[in-house]
Amino acid sequence: MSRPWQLLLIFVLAAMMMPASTAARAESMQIGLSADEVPITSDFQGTNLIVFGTLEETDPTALLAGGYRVVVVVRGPSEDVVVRKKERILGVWVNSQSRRFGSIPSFYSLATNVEVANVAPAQVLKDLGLGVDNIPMNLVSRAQHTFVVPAPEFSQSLRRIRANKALYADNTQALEFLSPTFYRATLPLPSSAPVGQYEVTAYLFKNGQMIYERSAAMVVRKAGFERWIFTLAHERSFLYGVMAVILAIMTGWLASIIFRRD
Amino acid sequence: MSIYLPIAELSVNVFVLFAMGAGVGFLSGMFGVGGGFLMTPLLIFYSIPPAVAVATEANQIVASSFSGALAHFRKGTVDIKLGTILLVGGILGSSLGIAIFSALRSAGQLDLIISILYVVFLGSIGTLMIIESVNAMRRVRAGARAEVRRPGQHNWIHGLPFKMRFRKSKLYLSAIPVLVLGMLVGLLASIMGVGGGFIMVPAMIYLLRVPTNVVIGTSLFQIIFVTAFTTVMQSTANQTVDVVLALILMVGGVIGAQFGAAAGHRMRGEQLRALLGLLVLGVCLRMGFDLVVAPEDLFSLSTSLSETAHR
Repeated sequence: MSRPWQLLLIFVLAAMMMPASTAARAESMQIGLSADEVPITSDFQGTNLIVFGTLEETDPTALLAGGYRVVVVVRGPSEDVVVRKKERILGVWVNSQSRRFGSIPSFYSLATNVEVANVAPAQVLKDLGLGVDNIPMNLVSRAQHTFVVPAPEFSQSLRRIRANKALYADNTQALEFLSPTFYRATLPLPSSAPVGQYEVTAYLFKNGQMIYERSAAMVVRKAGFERWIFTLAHERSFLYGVMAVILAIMTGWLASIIFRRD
Repeated sequence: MSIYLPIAELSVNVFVLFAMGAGVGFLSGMFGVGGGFLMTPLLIFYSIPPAVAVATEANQIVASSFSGALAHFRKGTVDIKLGTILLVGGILGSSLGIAIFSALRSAGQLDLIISILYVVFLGSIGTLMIIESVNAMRRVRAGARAEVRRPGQHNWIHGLPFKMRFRKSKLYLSAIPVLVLGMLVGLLASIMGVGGGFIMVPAMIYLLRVPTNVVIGTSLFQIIFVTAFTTVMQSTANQTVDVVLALILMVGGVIGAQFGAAAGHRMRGEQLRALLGLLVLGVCLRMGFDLVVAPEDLFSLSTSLSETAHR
């Protein structure tokens, strides 16, 4: 199909979706996930999370002009992160300075179909925390840090280390439009994906302004035997310790029976 | 075949771990040592987090020392009274060690202290072992007896108060040095992830003058309880014991130990000690090297303990 025909078809489709009255237009968007629960089993090698949805009540002129952009962000459970820097003291490399950052996502993955910088003005992206470089890093002030200027090398190292482990990523090729209003994002979830409650958010931009956002929840949890062990170790840690000792005693006893030398 | 370790939270190769367990088990069977001082560094080199390596290794030592102690019980070479006093000291030392462990971990200095302790202890013990065994070999060449006996010799330790009689060891000895030795070993067990046999055995022979035939059995007897206590404490305080990892190491370890013991019978004592000394020095150098060589990345991350503990 040649390009003019394609454009005409898009126009017709868009026109059909147009509401009777165009006076008060309010775009909205649906969001769906391929799975709202990702189980981590002993052979978990990572998976792909698929996020899809449709744009609704779109303005056909803006649609034709390519004025709409969709950005999908997957954020893992937040936690405090301490970044430490090693220094050489008496010939030995020692952790010396440290900074604590509060409510840092343990996982951050973004999907668009253009460069992040082309979605919206820098300030808009910064305010929404879109892009690995815009993940807000708030220093938690502790007594010894109160008067310390936040050294950007600490927050940059946090981003760099997490990005190297595929825990933070901007995927600029990961989102595609299957029709003018139907998008699909494919986000890789590595085997090291932290467990916990995730939030998947789709942002709709029109001409560089964020006009609608919609979120869905997802959970990554250990499954089966791993889940049982992990839960026991954290929630009934005394019992877990006693069981570990009994297991060891049994193994030692069995070994001494099997390999008895006298 | 890779397997996911639920507490260490990473995927590892089962066969590599099993081979490590069997290899260290072989050496420990051959030299009659627990092997913790070799296994913990190996686990750390294999990128298991040091906190998990140390706590899990305590769990593994429960198995190996239990199977070893059973053999000594059958032969009647355990001084239970002496072992119990060592044990009381051991529990105190281990409790103290767990508290230090948690504090160091939240200060971000745990890995460093573990490495430094290893370098210091392995370095000094390895050197002493080599010097001692080389001297013994020289004496053998000169035609003298390899073992030097020191019957009836007394040192300052025998002048301390609170004396007790230990029938099996044929000793009349103050409880203080026994408690202190137990405490020191308990402290090492919890911070370094070792049974402490490599300190306990020489100290019992040279400082307390315990007869050699009951030394190993008694040392194993108290190591079972101290490492069992350490396992429960580490589980409760730090949640760092990985039973899946421990089980793989235990099975590999007990199998390797059988072959090692058989190999050890064919070698002479002083040669064994010289080899073990070289091995200990090798591990020491490797750990020391990692301390002084510039790290690839100066920065490291750790997630908040306080927050994860409360979740």
